[in-house]
Amino acid sequence: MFFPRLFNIIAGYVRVSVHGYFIERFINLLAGLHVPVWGMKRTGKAEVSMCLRARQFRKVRMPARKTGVRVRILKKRGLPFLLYRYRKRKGMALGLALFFALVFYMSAFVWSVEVTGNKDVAAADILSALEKQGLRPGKPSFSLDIDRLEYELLTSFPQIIWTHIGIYGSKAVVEVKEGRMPPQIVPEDMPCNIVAAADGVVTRLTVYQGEAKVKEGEAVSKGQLLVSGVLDSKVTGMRLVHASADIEGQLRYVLSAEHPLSREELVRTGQSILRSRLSVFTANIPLYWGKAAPYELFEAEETVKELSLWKGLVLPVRYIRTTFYEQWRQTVEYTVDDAVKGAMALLYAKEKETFDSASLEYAQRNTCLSDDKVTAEGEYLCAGVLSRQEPIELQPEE
Amino acid sequence: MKQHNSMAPGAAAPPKRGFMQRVGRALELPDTVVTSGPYIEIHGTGEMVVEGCKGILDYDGNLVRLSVGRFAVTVLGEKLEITHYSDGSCTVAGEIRNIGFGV
Repeated sequence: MFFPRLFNIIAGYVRVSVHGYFIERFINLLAGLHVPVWGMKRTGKAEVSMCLRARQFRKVRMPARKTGVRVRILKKRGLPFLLYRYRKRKGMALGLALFFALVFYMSAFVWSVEVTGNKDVAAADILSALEKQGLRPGKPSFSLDIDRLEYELLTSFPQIIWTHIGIYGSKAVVEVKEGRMPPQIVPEDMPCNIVAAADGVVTRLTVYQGEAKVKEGEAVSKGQLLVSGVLDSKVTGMRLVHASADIEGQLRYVLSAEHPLSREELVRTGQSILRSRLSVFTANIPLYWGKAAPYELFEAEETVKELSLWKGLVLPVRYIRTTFYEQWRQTVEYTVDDAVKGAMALLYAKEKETFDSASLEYAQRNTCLSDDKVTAEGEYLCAGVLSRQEPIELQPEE
Repeated sequence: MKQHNSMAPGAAAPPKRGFMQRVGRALELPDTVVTSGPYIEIHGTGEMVVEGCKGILDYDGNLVRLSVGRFAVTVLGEKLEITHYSDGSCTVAGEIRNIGFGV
């Protein structure tokens, strides 16, 4: 229904009142003349109001005469009537045309660069790398070599495995996807040892090359030598090899988190103030008087509405609404139960960061209450690869 | 041979089907494909769209009667409006309570 309504506004329409006793016949005659009518309402015993296109209003005369109804215009709506009303204000029309021409012209420049999808790589680093390559606010979008920018971004940050730079009017959106870095692999021709990557217990040990220094079921600590690349025999003497083995084990993790029984926190007072501003290109036009944030301590929430003709063409005009919430420092007292819950929540968050829960084989969690805090501790055993290669550093002979 | 009529005494006879309609039924085609009769869509109790409307017979805030060729569609309700009427398509909106078909 949006497009027919938009078309009616552009083409112009009138709401008319039809007064008489043969209104139904009048409507049927209009339909016969291919005059569409809409928004028909019964307003009186012998009166109906309806809308019809402005250009087709002249066709009403004949059916009205035939049926003896009286047609009266109630409202005139749409662009033609608006233009007619302001036809003598040439300066306004010129200003409006100039404004749109300027906005369209300036839309050919990039006025904001947005980075999405990044986790480990900071957005500021990506933006500064792109700036060095030429993508910065104020740059004409047609002069940008997007393929080269994407290539440069991928080569500058090895953590980024995929990127796409989209230019939407005056806005450049840099989408990135970060990957997991592969473990450092020592080249086959370089002698190396295999050491424990973490504390744990060896559950499976298959050595292809090198000398095993531990047995299955043995507990090892991080960095301990598991398979040596130094072979020493009476027949061949000492030689260095590239140690190779599959070592799986139970990795042991010990984590802890603390939550105090009382702490000073910033709490909202309930007072807030809304500040709006208009951002045109890179200039900010405040739509308020006085200071932006009238509070000493505050929390700000910002919503940005971009002016765009459609999704693909974002104009360099943004309406920014910032709500400042007043805050004050308050000492919050926690019950032991709440502090335990808080400490456990922190511990769970640490677990999520440290290991994959699917590999978890054993977990023991304890909480401990001291004078002013609750400490949550956890010990975990996870299945996984226990080994990592470490090259053998050769000291040059003196 | 004596024929038994299964219809209950006093019940109205079912409407006669046209040739094209019978062919369509035999070929398991929808009626809208083979016949040029009216097509009526009802969206809940708030809107009704009638395609193939030949004219408005009666219009009131509580009653709308539309001619669809061989019969008429009567819509009863409250605050009834004809939100659109052009080229044989008529949309009736409002609180529709009853829809009837008759001559």
